Amino acid sequence: MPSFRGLRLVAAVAVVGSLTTACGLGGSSDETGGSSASGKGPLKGTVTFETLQLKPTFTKYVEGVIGDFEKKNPGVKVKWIDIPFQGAQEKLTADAGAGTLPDVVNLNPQFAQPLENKGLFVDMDSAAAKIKGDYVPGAWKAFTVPGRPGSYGIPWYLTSEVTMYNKGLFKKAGLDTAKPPTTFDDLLADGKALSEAGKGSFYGIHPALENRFITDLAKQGVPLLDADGKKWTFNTPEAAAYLAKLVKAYKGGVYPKDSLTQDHSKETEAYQAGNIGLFPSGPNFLTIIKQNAPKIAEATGVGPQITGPEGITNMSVMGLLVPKASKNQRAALAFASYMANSKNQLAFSKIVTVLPSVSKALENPYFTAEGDGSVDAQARRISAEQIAKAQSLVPVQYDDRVKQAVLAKIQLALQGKLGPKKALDEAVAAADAVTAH
Amino acid sequence: MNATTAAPARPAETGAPTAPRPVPARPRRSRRALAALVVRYVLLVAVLLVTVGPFLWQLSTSLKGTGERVFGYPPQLLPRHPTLSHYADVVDTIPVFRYGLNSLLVATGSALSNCLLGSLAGYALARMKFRGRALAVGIFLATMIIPFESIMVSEFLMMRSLHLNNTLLGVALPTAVTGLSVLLFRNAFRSLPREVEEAAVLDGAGEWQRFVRIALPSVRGTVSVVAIFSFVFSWDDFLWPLIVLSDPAHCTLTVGIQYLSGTFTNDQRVIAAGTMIAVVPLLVLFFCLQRFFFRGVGEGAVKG
Amino acid sequence: MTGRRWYVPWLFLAPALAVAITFFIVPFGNTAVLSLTDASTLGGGHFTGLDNFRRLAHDDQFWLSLRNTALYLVIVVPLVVTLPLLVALLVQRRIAGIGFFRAVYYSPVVASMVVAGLIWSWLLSSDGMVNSLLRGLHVVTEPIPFLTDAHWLLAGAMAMTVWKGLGYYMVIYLAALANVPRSLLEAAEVDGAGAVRRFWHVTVPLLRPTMILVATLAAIACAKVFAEVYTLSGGSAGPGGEARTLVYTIRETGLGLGGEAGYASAMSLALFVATLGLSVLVTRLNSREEQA
Repeated sequence: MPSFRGLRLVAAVAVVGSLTTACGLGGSSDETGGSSASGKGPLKGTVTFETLQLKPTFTKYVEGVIGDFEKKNPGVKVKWIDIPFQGAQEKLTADAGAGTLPDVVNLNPQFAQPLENKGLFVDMDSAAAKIKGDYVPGAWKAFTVPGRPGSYGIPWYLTSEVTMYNKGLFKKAGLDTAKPPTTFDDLLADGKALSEAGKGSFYGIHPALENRFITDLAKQGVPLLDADGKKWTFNTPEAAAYLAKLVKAYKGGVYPKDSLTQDHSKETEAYQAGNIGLFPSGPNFLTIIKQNAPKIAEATGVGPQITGPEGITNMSVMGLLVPKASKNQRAALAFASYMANSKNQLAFSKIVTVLPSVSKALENPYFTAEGDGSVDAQARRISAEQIAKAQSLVPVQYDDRVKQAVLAKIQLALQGKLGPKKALDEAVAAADAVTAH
Repeated sequence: MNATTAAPARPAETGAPTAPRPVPARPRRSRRALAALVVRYVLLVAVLLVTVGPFLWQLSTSLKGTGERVFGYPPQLLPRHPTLSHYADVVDTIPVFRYGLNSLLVATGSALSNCLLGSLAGYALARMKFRGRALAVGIFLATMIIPFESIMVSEFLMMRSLHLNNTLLGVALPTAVTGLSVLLFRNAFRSLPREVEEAAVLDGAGEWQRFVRIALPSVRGTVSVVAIFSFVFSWDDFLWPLIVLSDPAHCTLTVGIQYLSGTFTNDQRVIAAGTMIAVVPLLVLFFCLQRFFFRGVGEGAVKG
Repeated sequence: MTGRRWYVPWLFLAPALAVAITFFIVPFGNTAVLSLTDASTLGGGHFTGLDNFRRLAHDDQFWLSLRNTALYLVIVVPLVVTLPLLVALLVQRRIAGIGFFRAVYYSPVVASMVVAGLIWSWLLSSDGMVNSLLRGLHVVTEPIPFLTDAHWLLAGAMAMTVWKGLGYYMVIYLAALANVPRSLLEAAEVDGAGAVRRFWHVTVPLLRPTMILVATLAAIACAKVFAEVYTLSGGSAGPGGEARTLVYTIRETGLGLGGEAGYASAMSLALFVATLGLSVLVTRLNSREEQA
């Protein structure tokens, strides 16, 4: 009996890709079977909606929107599942493998891409063609797969990095507290001044390679990936020159000693501890700083995103996707577009420093006025201004595995074990190897 | 190593463990004994300092007032404005009691099933000779070696085909009895003197009778060890419950406290309070059970 | 013991075996099949024969992981067999407050890896406690780069493993120590044996099976070590990923969306065979010695 089940299971796993569409959706039963997006009549059935760690802060908001939607569509019941970031990849993998993805799922492009590549999601270019024009083009484009037609998600909310800095430490280093750095060279120069003034008690910046390295190359005009999306191309002389600057900064003690391999969460900790003076990150981190280090939050100023000579800025996109396997696609689509409509996004942006992906909502005076003059208002205005010329610069192929492969070489370069050019060449080769498999 | 080979036979020479042993005379309160006691406490405190760190940090962080710094080195251990409000925040944010109850159900079930099924299997492996025994040992050993990551997806598929996904039973079933529990019991039963049971055989007791009436009570120490190990494992497990469960109502505590840090919020004090709520029951349980670790062959049988 | 019906042992074993086979052996059979394909975590894939294993043979990352894991095993297992035993002896006597000490010693076992990682990063950072101490004592002049050098990182992770294992294996030893008949120790004392001799000649031989059990458990745990290296290195396994262990590489390769499930399965299989071989060898050597 075990061996029989074993055989069946082996077979099931081996062909999982083709099975997913055949598998039912646990929890979301739909009596009408209206699985096509183009059905008619009132919406019915259950829609499961999965988000990435929005509880507890937004419980009220999300439940409010769900309540409104259910009132408008009395036949539909929305079931909300929030999953923590930690373990999200594994859960999604298991669900995708078993065909138990929810009807509407909240993903960022990097998470979504391998699933999109399998053709698991509804093409929004056609299914949601009516609303496509309402959204910031750069955000909509984030859910395309290179070399494949269509776009697979409705952009939900956006963030655009700003530069937070500790005015107290700026003063100690003799820097102008009203003038945060805006270019990469300024950033390194100010970082150096801060670290020298700190003499080991505080530093200028954290390299946060994990979070910024590849984005920073893109902002300086380095082409990351070829047109087919198969070969990495960031081993240019410009990139090598920039990496050489980072190497010099590391050697010169601009970064804290142990920061070489540390990620963004350690950088956040270090800023909150008053150990670093400059913190380029999403404006939503202002809330977190306030919670953990109120004194540092008081001393924090905000400047625009660090950019290269062309002033290209980056943005991060969160989207809502509907799996093709959903048995209730029509209601799922209706709910996703409702969640991401102008009114609901605007309300969302008022509880947290994120930006709406709907162009009309962005024009709201809330994002353009000085507001109450607080740091949050300033951060909101700055990041909203940036969005107009911002793009999602990091290609979706830059997933966790490519990132690991690339950073390993960059870390060695910073330690002086590999020359900048050689490190980049090896990084490109390693990244190609991962992307090819 | 002559002693090695001779040793396992020795307990028998000293008589059956059920025999009353002389109450050890109270040690003379000599100066040497006192000095030894002092040295013992000094060592105890030294190891305490090495191990107490995480608990202390969590406790102190969870009690810190909102204005106090959490990060930074050297860590500031004493909260300046101690408050319990973060514990209230945890209770307000997540249904701690419901999640705790779910965890309790899974962990208690796991502890019971591990003790029961583990002791049965361990007894057979330690006390019976039969063809295929090595294979059985190998299978239990293998379950411990297999990296969970490599079977996670197949396991989930299986739960789905059994219609146990999104149930607490689905969370508990794969670890209902672990290779570790079986091996711990096998080890314990092996060190029991055979003579005890052989006496029972003469009494005409069957295999089952001997197991329940003689063998199992003699390894009570191991029963409590297996109970605490399986309880703690189930209580702490994160990835598997997260994958199996999709209904928030079925969440276990370890998964639930993840919601204390969100994409846009990350108050370390509240997270520490949540972690304390998850960890303290385990330490209390350990504190209550630790005296039983000793009730093995010797004392347990006497003092009952 | 004769006269027992052949199926009696299997009745005792049946429930446990059913669980083990259904939830571990069968899914792992699946892993074995996957190792012969180029499937991704999302399914699909074609039969590729032994290609994955051939690739494994030439994969530097794999060999590096294997080397680090072996190093881990060789250094950590002896420590984990001995130190928790000493701790168990320390807390064995029932003296005032001993329950409290035992519980605190156990607390690192249940501490979350995140908190443990945080504390150990503090201990091991360039200006952390360990380096301050070593510099204060003039053992070193420059701080030891525990967090930014692969070998030191491994050493730090090993220390963390031993530290977490103290309370865990202490519990196993405590249960075993209870089986050491007090009368034997007393007899030895009457014979004039000191505490150390009593330990070596009475306690240790009786604990031998438990020490072998602990060694086996520790070896399996070391073969699967991941979390310590991961948390101390911020997820990177050190600069250049040079402190990677086998499970680290397996997770990196095969987990997550679009991971190479086929290739990672081949690695898992290699890890499995190596560990099982090692465990069987330990058991065999031991039983032979017992019979000798």
